[in-house]
Amino acid sequence: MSTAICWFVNSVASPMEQEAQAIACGLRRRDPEVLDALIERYQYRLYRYLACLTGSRETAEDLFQETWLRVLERGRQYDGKSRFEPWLFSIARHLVIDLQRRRQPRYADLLDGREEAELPELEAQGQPSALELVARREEHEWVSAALGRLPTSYREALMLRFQEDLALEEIAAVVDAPLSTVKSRLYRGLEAMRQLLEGGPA
Amino acid sequence: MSEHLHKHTRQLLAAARVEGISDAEQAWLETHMQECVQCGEYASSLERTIRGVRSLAAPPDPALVETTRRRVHFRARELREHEARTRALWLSCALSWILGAFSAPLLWRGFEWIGHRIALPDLVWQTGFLLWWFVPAAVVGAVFVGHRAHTSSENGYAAVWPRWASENKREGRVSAWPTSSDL
Repeated sequence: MSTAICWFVNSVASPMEQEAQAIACGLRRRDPEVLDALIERYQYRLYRYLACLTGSRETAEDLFQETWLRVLERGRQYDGKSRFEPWLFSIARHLVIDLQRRRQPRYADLLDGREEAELPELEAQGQPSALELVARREEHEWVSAALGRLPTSYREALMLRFQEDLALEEIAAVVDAPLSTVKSRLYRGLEAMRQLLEGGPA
Repeated sequence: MSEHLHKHTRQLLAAARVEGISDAEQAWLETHMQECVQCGEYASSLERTIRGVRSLAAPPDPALVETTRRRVHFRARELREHEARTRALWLSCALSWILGAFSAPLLWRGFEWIGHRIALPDLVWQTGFLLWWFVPAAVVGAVFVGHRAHTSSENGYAAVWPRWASENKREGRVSAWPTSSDL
């Protein structure tokens, strides 16, 4: 029955809607293959988001697993009418908030942006030359350190906008804040980040 | 050029990257940028900042991804089995109700006959009939409530952080992830 509905919806929707509907159908069926494909596809983005938000690799790893289990358990709540990414990030964010509540006061100001959390060591991908590696590492360390000094709410907004390429409305849905707040965080975060990076390694 | 003009340019430069600007604003910005070195430097600085944010990477450990897959598969199987059990329970409830409804008149007569046979007051055999009718439903209801309570406790912290993970952490193993023997 649900397969028939999925087929009908897919036959009349645009490619992006079809994809979202296919994911929604797969999640409703709790199809392991769909979940495998989703984990494969979103592993880097989800982990990066969690690492950025929590500032800890270990915590990000725990939450990474919990997020996918939550996706499995709450998959029926995803209706496929919007993109999957904001829904996924929203689940991850709620888990971070739950953790924040359990671990007070370490993450006490995650949402209001007072925290100056330590950013995880972010690594470069690929196999560059030794010189490039040193330069890139130096630059990455500098950018990571600067990002880590931003309030978490600004950091999160910057990550979602410029790394995950989410639309402003999608970011507002993920962080559960008005559009104006999201814009304000982005402008302030961007300017703060720019000022922090001024005078960084060439 | 006035400071106000530079400020406006910077706002537009940021807006262009954050939310986008109109064609007219873009055209004005391009014209201004051609003749203003100060704003040009600001634009480059902004571009470097965004490039820096975009360049950050934090790849997950492949073992983490594999373990996550295993946990998700395991939990999916658990949930499917639970759903099958719940469906069977509902089906048996429905069948029981239908059977009860159809057999009620016959049962009423049976109770009435026994009541008259052993000279019981009407209220007694009628109460007996009601109890006969309600006891199975009450038992099923109790089973269902107990089942729900059990399921909700499973869906809590224990479901996402199962026993073997806690044990692994407590025993100081390198990873809190499950091994094949755990699954």
